[in-house]
Amino acid sequence: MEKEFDPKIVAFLCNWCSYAGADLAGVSRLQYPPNPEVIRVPCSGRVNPFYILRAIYEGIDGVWVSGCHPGDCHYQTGNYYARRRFYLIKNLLEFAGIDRERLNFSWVSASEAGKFAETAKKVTERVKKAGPIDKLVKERYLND
Amino acid sequence: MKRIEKNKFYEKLNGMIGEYRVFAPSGDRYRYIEDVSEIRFDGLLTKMSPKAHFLPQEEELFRWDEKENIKVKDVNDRYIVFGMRPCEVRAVTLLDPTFDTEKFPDPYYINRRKNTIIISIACNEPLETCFCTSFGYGPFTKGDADLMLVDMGDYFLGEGDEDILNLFGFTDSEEDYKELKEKAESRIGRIEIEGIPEKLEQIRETDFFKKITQRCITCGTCTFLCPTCYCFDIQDRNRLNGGKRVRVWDSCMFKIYTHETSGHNPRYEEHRRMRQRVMHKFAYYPSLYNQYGCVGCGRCVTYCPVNFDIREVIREAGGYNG
Amino acid sequence: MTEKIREIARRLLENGEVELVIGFEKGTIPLKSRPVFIEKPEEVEKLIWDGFCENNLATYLRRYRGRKVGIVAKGCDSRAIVNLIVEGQLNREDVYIIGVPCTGMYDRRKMIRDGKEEPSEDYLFLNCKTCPYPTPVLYDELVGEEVSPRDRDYSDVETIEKMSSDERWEWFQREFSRCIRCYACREACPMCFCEFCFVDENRPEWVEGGIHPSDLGFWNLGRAFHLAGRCVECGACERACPMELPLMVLNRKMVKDVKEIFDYEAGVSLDEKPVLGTFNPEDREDFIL
Repeated sequence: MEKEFDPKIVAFLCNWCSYAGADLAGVSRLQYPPNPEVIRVPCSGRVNPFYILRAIYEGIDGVWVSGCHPGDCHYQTGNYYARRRFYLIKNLLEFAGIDRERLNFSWVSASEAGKFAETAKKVTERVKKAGPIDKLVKERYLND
Repeated sequence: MKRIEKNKFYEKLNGMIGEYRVFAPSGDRYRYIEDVSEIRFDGLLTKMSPKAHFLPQEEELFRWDEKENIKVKDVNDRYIVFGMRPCEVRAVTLLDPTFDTEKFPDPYYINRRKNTIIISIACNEPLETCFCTSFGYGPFTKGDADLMLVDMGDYFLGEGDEDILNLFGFTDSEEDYKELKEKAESRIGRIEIEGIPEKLEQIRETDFFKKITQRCITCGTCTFLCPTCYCFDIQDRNRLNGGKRVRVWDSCMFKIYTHETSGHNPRYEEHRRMRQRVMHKFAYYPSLYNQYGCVGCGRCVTYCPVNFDIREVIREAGGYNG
Repeated sequence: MTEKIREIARRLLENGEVELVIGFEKGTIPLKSRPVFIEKPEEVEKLIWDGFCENNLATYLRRYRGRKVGIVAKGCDSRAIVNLIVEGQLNREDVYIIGVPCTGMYDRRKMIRDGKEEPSEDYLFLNCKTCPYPTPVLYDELVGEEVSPRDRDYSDVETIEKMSSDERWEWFQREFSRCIRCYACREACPMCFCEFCFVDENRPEWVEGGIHPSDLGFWNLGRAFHLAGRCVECGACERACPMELPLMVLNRKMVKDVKEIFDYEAGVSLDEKPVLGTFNPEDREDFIL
């Protein structure tokens, strides 16, 4: 039997909401796929769009950025700025042929453990659908 | 003279692919071809010069694995570079003293150079931007090529090593290319370079370079397309199972090129970088190797986004009294 | 137009209103006009204006910060100047803008390939053909009559948007793997004013040097993204590119999206904040999961 594709996903989670949401999901024993590997960031506004580009370049199958709901930013406005940037980088990458399923953005608050688990499932499904990444990836191992 | 029908020549060349890796003009640049049908001359000169064979834009030097075993990349293939122009052949000759030195011989360059057969084609119809004759050679100079071809329409005239002529099956011919040569040479513009190296040294610290650099946007087009520019950067690449050290092209026109670890940059200002480029070719090269570092192919003139014209700069330098 | 520009330049230099005037002069190769820097009134005869003034002169302005400079600016150049002022790279008082209503620039490389010597509508650059601001948006003096705006047309971008993602990727690879990383696009661009470009970063690096297709992709996407909301569609990058990459397609994609999503255009108003330097709580977020 062929082994099912097990995608590598990087999740940039805001410390003040989604990260805590993930924590709560864990404490509440909610089931969700282990694929998203979490990088804690102080705010979704801290996520330089180039992190997304670089993740793909490094051979990551999918990227997920999650921050506070608009209006709830710990720093008042960080996610508002981030929202604009993400929209554009997503469109640009899609335009160059990176599958849209690999680029995921969500708002998850600290209390939304259920939503966190749901989104993690959804993101993993989406990336699975896109398959192993073969675009824009720089060699990770020495070859030839 | 010796001659060969074109289709016979290409057939023979095609047969040699495999035994040799053949680097030939294919549109805007030279490529390693699988079949002679890929050969495409878009005008007289390709945009990118064939120096990319002798000094690839990105070249692995050595690699290491997790246990830090080091493996040096060796260059053992045999190559043919087909279609080089006399200026490009001369440019390779000019790279030799830099890489093939007694003290620091560069094995990668030397091996490639040694294992390469150079087949050049003379220029029957030089371009308006050509100024090769200013440097003591011309559009029909064989130079370091192993074989020089002259395009006669349906056939080539050949001049070169007996072995290579026989390899391709050249036959004897009464013709010569004297007339074509004279016609071509007469079409080429010249720049006056007598005394330029000394003059440049004299005006080094004047405002001359500031003045000429105003227009320059300090991109690397001129240096990357130039057949004699060889500046490079060494980079280490980490991989999950080891790593490798590579050499990539760099350009003296870039600000980062001389950016030191401390943060200091001796060539921060644009005119200092331009001065380096101009003087390297027209003052340092002559004083080091007794040859100019420019071959007069005119690529930098044609492709410069702001039409920085080296011919004009040399002319202005000659008459500068400021 | 040429006469008028010379006249203004002479006056500015004679009265000492500016230290130098940046304009165009006849180039040394066919169908090329090139930037020139006039410091003395007697040199103004060099200045010209024709259909081959393809460079964006605003790219030089940062070098002369703090000095009074006169500049010949067509519509897109003036938008670049506005953007530089908005982004704090330039003081309005330092530049004297000689605005030139522009009827479009001609693609010299295409003309030479086709053996044409006389410019015609067919050879206009695409961004000139669809230029919404041919008349400078900011100027101290306008040379000639205003030119009416042309219709925007992003059909080149839309053609690619309609493709499947694999087709788009194939297109992107085919076109951008020809890049040689000479950075002419960056240097020609008036909006690429970073003191230290991301591609030069090496401690640590964003992207490796060399010409691996992924490196070329990273560089070109990175460049296009950094110009999102900045690009004034002057086309200077594409005209500078020695390998003739379709750089403007990426830029125009961003321009189009910025207009559609945030209803913003770069370099048209001194009062508007840059699109990524501000926000609206009601911004569209239909891409959020």
